[in-house]
Amino acid sequence: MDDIQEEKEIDETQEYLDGWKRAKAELINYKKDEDKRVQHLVIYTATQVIKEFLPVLDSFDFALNSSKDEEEKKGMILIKGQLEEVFKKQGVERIKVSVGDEFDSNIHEAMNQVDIDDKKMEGKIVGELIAGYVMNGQTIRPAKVTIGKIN
Amino acid sequence: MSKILGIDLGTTNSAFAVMEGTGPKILENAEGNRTTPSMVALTKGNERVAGLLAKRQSITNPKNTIFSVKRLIGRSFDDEQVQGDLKWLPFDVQKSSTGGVEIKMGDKWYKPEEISAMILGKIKADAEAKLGEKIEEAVITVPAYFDDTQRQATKNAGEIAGLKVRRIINEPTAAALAYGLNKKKDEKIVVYDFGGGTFDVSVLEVGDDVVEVKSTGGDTHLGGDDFDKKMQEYLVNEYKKQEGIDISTDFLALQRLKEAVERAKHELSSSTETEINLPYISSDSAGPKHFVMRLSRAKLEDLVSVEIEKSVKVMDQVIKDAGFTKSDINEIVLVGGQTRMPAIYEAVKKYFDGKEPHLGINPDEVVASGAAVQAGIFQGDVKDVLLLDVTPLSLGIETLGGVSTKLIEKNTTIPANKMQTFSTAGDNQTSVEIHILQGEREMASDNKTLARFILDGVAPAPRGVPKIDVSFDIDANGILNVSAKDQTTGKTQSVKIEASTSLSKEEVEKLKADAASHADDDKKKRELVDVKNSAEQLIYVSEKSIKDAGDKAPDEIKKKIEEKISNLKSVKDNNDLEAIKKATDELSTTIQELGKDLYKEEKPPEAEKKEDDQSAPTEGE
Repeated sequence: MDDIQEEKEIDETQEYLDGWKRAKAELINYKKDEDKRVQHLVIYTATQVIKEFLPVLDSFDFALNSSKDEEEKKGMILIKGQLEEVFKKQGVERIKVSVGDEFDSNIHEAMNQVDIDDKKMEGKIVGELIAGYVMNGQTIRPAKVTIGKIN
Repeated sequence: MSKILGIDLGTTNSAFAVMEGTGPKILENAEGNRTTPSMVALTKGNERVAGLLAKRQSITNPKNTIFSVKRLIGRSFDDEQVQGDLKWLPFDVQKSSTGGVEIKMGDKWYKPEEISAMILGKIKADAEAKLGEKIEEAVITVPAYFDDTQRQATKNAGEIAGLKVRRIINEPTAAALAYGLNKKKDEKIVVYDFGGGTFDVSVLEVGDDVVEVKSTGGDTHLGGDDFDKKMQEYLVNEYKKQEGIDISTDFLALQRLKEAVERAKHELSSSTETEINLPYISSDSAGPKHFVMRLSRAKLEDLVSVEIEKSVKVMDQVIKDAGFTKSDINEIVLVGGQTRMPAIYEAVKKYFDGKEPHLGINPDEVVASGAAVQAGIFQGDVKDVLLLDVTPLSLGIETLGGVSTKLIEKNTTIPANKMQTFSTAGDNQTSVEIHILQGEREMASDNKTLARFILDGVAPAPRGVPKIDVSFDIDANGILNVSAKDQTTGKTQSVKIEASTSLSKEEVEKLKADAASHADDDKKKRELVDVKNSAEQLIYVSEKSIKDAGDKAPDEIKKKIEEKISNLKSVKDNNDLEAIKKATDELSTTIQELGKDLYKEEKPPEAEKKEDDQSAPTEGE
């Protein structure tokens, strides 16, 4: 009887000790996770804010494309440059797109296709509609591009 | 033991979650998003991609980009639904040797479950990368109307992806689980799921921990995307009317508008008006044209009122199908991003005669969260030998004016301890009474007294100067130790209360309900006490200031202050909150005059510095 009782108590003690260790480990792990979470949150928040600003940069692009006044253009390029400088400090960079680039869905989003004659351009990028951006290596918005297609 | 993944495998988007600690947590995919497009593609470079990457290239590769496979899984090729969907799905589909469906991607034919398996494979890989551990098991959700074949096919998809499917559960059941409604007894629940492309309603009945689907219904081609389309059409037409320019043929303009519409729709869920501002959207001979238009929430609601009414009508029918009336329904759960729209929430609430639908969990994530809850039940998590209790009610002490100051808030997990420093209310007070209270009410007299003791031997000092540390310590058995210590003399007094948590469930509930029903009254009472306390404090300080200033203070100011003091004294014991506030303000302004006056006359002000920090310039004299 006593032996059984003792064994039971030892078991119980082990179980409690195990539970205690687990609880302690969980707390330590939680703290580590929490640190990561906070860091992640900081990046996430910054990314969200930057994303909200992207349409403003787009508008500069559209304005520059449609303006014919060189003086006015110069001013706009300078203001755009200021904005880009701020972005650069946050690790944001424009995705470079050139005609003839291979389509890559990691950084490009195909918006439409146009008929082309040059067979070399089949499936390749023939134009950029809206610029894309990466932030610290992560695509925050893919470049929206037009793809060539042999009719 | 490795974690079991909860997966909401949707028609257009999927989400996945795991149980972490005591709650479900949505995991982000490799692209950093909380939802993953349910799309698979074989790219022109002969690479198989799933999720967002498949979506980005879909335009250039429509034949080899597979989506909406959930509309096909487990169905026979001749199924009416399948035939309907084939009319608009851009990829090739054929009848399999067994009469099922086969989809062509590249030059191979796949079964729908194989396509779903590719999505699940990506989800599995992303979850493993996020968690840093292997995932081998999953709980996957399906619509309540899925038959056995569809369920089996979904299960097979999981197995192909290398996941042991612990259970296939219904999406509405998962939503109810996420809100913990499975624990309720004999409840009838309506789940209203307005997604991007589909609308589903289910009626559930919970009894003995079993959730039973009583009826389902919906519209497989009604969703939030329709709202976007309607907004876009409206804006294009308005612009045409205003500017005479048709942007519907301008691809880039339309694309920009589409994104702006999506943003505007989200914004109108929280504000009543938004502006769509797209500079240089187009141009004519006169130069560039801009798109600037204000859109009100009312206008949006007007545009989609037909769809909302339709959804409510469907819901009404589904409730009837279950053999219930709307007054039988105990709980309403909203699922799907579009339910964030206030008009939908209000329409549902109005239908149920003002009964509030559940809110709180992100409606895009509620199904995946519920799947994770189910996974957590299988996991059993860590065996809870150490069942940690919580304090059912707040614990605190009585402070100046009969107020109950809480040290340990209700629902604090125990063991726990908390220390706070208090002081005396009167000059040269040598003892303080520690009156230990339990309950949520603002005033001490409304709460339960657990114990009282006196700490004496406090060194005589002006009021507010002595520092008395009061500490509460509850051990794992709910035994409360309260001690009070005078920081100066070190004198300590304590009491042990054995049964601080041993209230019956009914008692606790009653006390909580009591507190809730008196909340407003109590707050007012508490405010009155706070105002009275600060009035008293001000009187004390003012009287002291006059005394300290002695002859230095001009008689007229002194007289004015005394007048204000007696004025405040006469109102402070009445219960007119506004009168006390007013008299306090007046005295406070007047006493500042004294300060100013003294500093004007006094060279290096020393003694008064303590009393008046409002007008003590550090430079000038």
